[in-house]
Amino acid sequence: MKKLFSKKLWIALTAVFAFLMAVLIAAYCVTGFFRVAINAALQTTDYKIVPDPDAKIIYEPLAYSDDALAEYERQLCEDLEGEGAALLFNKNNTLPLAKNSKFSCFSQSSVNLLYGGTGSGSMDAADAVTLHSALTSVFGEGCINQDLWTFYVTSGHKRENAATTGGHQGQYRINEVPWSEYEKAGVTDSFASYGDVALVVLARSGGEGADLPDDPSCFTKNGVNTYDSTDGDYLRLSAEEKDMLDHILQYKKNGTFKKVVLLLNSANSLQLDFLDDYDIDAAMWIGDVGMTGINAVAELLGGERIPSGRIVDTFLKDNHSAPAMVNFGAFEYTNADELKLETAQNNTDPGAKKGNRHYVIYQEGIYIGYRYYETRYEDYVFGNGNAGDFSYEDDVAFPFGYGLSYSDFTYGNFNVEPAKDGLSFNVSVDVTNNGNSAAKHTVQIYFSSPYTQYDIDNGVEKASVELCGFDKKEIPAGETVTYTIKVNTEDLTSYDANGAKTYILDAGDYWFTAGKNAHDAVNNIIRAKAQDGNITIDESKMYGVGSDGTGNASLCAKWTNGKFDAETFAVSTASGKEVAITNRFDNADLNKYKGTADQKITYLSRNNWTGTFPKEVKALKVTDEMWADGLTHDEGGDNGRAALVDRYKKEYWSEYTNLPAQGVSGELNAIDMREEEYDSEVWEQLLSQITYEEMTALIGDGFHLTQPVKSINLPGTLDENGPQGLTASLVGGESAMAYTSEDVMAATFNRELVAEMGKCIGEDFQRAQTNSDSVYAGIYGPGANIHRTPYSGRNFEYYSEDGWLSGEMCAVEVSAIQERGVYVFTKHFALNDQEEGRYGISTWSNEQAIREIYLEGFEGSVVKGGGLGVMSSFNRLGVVWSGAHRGLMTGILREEWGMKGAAITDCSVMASYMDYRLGVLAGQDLWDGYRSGMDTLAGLDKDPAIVSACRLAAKHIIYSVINSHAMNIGSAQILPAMPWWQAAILSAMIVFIVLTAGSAAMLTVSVIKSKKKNN
Amino acid sequence: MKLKKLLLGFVVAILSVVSIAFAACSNNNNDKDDEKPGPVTISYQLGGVMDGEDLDSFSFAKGAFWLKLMSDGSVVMDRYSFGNYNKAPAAENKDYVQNYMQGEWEETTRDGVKALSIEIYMLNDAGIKTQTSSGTAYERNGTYTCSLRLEVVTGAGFYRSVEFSGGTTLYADADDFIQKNAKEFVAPESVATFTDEELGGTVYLQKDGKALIYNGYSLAASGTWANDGEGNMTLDIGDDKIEVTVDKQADTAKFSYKYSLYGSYSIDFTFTAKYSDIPVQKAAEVADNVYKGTYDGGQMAMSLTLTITDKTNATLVVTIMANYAPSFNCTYVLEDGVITLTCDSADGNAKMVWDGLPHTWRLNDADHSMTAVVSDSGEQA
Repeated sequence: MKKLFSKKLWIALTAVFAFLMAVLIAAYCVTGFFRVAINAALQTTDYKIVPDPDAKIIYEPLAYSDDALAEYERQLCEDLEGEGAALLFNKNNTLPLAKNSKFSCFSQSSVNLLYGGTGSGSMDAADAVTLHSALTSVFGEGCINQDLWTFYVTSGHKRENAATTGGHQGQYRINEVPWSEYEKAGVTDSFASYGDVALVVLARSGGEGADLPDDPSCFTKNGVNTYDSTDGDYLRLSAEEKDMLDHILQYKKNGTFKKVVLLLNSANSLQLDFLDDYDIDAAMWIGDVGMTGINAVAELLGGERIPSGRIVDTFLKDNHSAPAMVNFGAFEYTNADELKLETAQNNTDPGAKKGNRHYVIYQEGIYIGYRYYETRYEDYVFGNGNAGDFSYEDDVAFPFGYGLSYSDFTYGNFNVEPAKDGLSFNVSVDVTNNGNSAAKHTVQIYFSSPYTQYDIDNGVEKASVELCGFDKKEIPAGETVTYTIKVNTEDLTSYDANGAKTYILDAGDYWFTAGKNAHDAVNNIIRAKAQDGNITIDESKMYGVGSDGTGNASLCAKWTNGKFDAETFAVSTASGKEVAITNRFDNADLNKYKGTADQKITYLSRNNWTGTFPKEVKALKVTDEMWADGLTHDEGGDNGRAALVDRYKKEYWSEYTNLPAQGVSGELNAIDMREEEYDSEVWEQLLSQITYEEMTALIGDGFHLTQPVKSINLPGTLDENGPQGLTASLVGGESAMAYTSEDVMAATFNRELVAEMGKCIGEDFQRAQTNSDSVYAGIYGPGANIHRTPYSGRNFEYYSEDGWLSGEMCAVEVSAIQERGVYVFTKHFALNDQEEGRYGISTWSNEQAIREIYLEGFEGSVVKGGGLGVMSSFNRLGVVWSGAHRGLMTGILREEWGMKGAAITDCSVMASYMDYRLGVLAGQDLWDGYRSGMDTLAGLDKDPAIVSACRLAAKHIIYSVINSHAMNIGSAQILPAMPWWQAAILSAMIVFIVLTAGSAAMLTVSVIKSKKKNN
Repeated sequence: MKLKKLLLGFVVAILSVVSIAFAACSNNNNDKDDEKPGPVTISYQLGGVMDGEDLDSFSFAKGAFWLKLMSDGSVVMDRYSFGNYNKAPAAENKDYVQNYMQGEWEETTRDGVKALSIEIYMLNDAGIKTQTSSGTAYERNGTYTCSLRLEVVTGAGFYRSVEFSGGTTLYADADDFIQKNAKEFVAPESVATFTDEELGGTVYLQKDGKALIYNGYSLAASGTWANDGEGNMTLDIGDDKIEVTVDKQADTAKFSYKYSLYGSYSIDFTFTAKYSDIPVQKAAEVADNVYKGTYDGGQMAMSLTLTITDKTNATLVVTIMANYAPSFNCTYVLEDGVITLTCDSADGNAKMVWDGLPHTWRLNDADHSMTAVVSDSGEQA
């Protein structure tokens, strides 16, 4: 017992307990600070739901068991691939292959297919179907050269991607096996027994965080080229691939291989100049194939399916011939060092705080993909627009919309009937299937609008043809089917940013045609225009792709608009109110934004192709105005962010001078709002119940989730990545079915199929297991940016080079996902068409291109698809971060399009340039991050403008959540609850506080005892 | 006496509660293992490493992984965070985590090739698998290889593909695993250092005027430094101009630096050094053999750095944009301060750049600048 009163013992114990107590107190505070991130990582929440026994299930699960759903989804992925894969050429009817064919599969990618991209949209492909398995199921056991397969699998050569975090372009590697290794391994001896088909797979991966290298400098580090096997261009053949093809074709020449078939396994279109150099018999573009899509590819090869996919990008022989290429990348402002501007590729880079060093100029205007090649081709044929020495044949391998079938289709009876109200046209065409089997076929309707003197005078550009309608049907063998397709007059308009400052419908002749692809369409229209105008065409200038021929005037129809119209399409009613459509992006156009002073640009114009073709990057310097209007990274001073916040308040929120009520006691629950209209006054009552802290937590702490709002019993949700399907793998969770890349989805030209997929993605979210009371209610997807060049790292997440097609596909996918009670965040809004410099890069364009090309996909999502939300992008429009761009976030999204749900940011962790104040004042609602360290809304609860803006943002978020399956809980109560990890720390902390106190008491007793003893 | 008993009871009760709590919270995998009948041995073991320059700022995230495929079909993966340079034995090494991840494996035949199918994951509180990663290991010359996707820092959400390789033997035990993957911290070369011993920070002042601030072994920030030897010393770190307080009498130099991670969690370092140890350093001093210049190639301003490597060779780096800076290995002739460069090796785009550049430059040794020499006709030579 003496020891119990030993002073030394209690001193030691007190010290130890006190230290541990201090550590735990610190841990409690620090983890509290990172509460949102920890909850997201551990899938825990700080609330609990007290169930509502009377809750009505709003979104019932589909009537499939989990297993049946999984099987259905596997089949659906196959169907998407089966209808999206595009047959590019098929010499001497090489395909379909005989069922007893023996294959030698070539390239390391043949054993390691590309199933999807990397980054937030990445998928776990460990269980994906292999080419081996797919071919075996169609062509039978033993159809594959096993020696060659085993050789590749064990070769040690493997395609490498750039890392999403800390990655860069120079990390991409093709890593094809050098031919010397084939010979060394003796595998060439096996070819003869599997000589029916040499099946060559060429794959190129892409992903988040790094664009594909297009130039040797991408591989240069410290002045040394780290990899020169592709001449620095990742979309060209590497030296090893060329060598492999050379050898394969030698084996073909000596009779070892009968046929050589090529599969292009990439969402980024390879440069196809090599096709002319090699005697390849057939080629098929298959994109990224998703979990099971390769099964459908095998079925296409074996004739169990008939190809019907149409490419959604122009496939080029010279990728660098596109006018966007010279301006593809991130370019430094010339005074970047002086102003200490910084950049970041990822949020682990310190530059993510500023994100203001780089810019990119979309100098090509509207001339992306086929809009450039087909338009310049038409002008070349007619001798217009200083088209110069243009050679379509040298630049283009396969046009937009191209794709062959095993069947043959002919068109007739093309007819166009304008609707009486002038707002649409009924276009019809008879299609005959001349083949021996029923086959699906897509009819594509293109229009050509007049390029008038008004357009030239006002800088309005016109593409020679534009897709405006399509339909896909199965046609029985030998039968004729009539396609009737509605074309909206609205889609024929152009945006005139300089004259009328709204959408115009030029006076003049409009041509419609049914083309097998964009080039076929322009050839038809050239013939029709020539016939109509009695113009003689120089036939040597006409070029037809494959067997398409060089145009058929009978497949065209003319409609003449007698009067220039700048009124009919100048008003939007999508929001339920009449909103004038006018310029909203003058500050993103170097030629209109006054802040750039004399730094102007010449956009590419069909009025002078040669004279306006972009040749070099315009050097730009940051001016004082550019700094003050958005590039600033300072808080204080006349040109700091605080000053900018004040300007926003004055410009956009000056009427909001009364402080809205906050935290008022009330009985309304979030679920009650499902019965209310968006504009109902009851919303004001609901919002008044919410405290400022609840609002700012809801807005600011949204890293892959939404926060619960206890005052209105709104549950929290989990929001996860798409777009190939639910993937929580970025945050360590489970993933569901992964479908093909988005371009394959679009290439199906099959709305029903894409809608079916959307429904299944929604269902996967509904059924995903979670570790808390929250459910997966929101998807970060689909992606609706544009394939501005083939080199964008995330092309696999975007549909096409064509905005209109993107919008059509996005609309059906979004609508179907939301039907299952899952709200969307269509991403990345907007003009985020590259990865380089993505954190805060200034994107300069003009309003016509912005509206007609880059916003179309998102417009489809919101207006046609009823999409509840978007994800704003990392980049800036001009100098203004997209989420703080009032014209974009409010003018377009809310006023013109009528979006009612939430706009989330892209990942805002570390990126303090995504300022909360500027965002909410501009119309941004939710941040995919947490407030820690960048909580600029803190302490502003008495600021009427800020509080009003926060209320509006909160309303949008709540609107999304109440229209999701998260509300299947009905009127359940949301009560605070400590997550287990925080409870554990708190418990331990209390234990050590008590221990410290106890041991301190014992120490005191022992000191007293000791003193008494000494006395 | 009552008080004594009361206190004793209190201590015993508290310690019991703590013991029970700790026991309950401890990893129960070991208990499970104990319950399994028969000895479980390692059938295959593979190792992988997560490393790279881009992790220099997160040295603690660098790690070695030991994937053990056990005879009962389970997988145990240990992690050793070698970036903390802790070589202590496994039993006392806080940077070694046993059972970092778990999983299952089986021998399989995939597409006609014998292989090992591996799945690893963590189990969360509800028993749901998280951080799942799976791969197929194929054998070549006795070595199995596969890729697994691992999180860089647990819970942070960033993943890397890590290549694993191994066979039936690799490491004898955990200590062997640590020792074979341990690294020596190689401090950056420096002419002087500041330290904050309490918080584990070091600032390395380098000969070329660079200053590197380390938080432990992680590069926290870099900048430039200058010292006039008269007690005036500056450090430029990003936008911050840091004033160094010099007390010549006490022979100390001192400054404060706030290291901020994710803009929130921060460490307030106070760095000190012996002032007399710090050499004189001119601001942004340029090396003797390096010259810098600019050239306006039409709309694009280029910055050039010429490094004279020996009597006949030089390297010219032309920075045209952030991600495009071709480098030219040249021979040169230098007469009266005018250098003429020749480069035959440039091709492709680089050749276009080279052809568009002046090749004759006047070198100014005073400020190490270089200016293009213009001929009488106004053409740049």
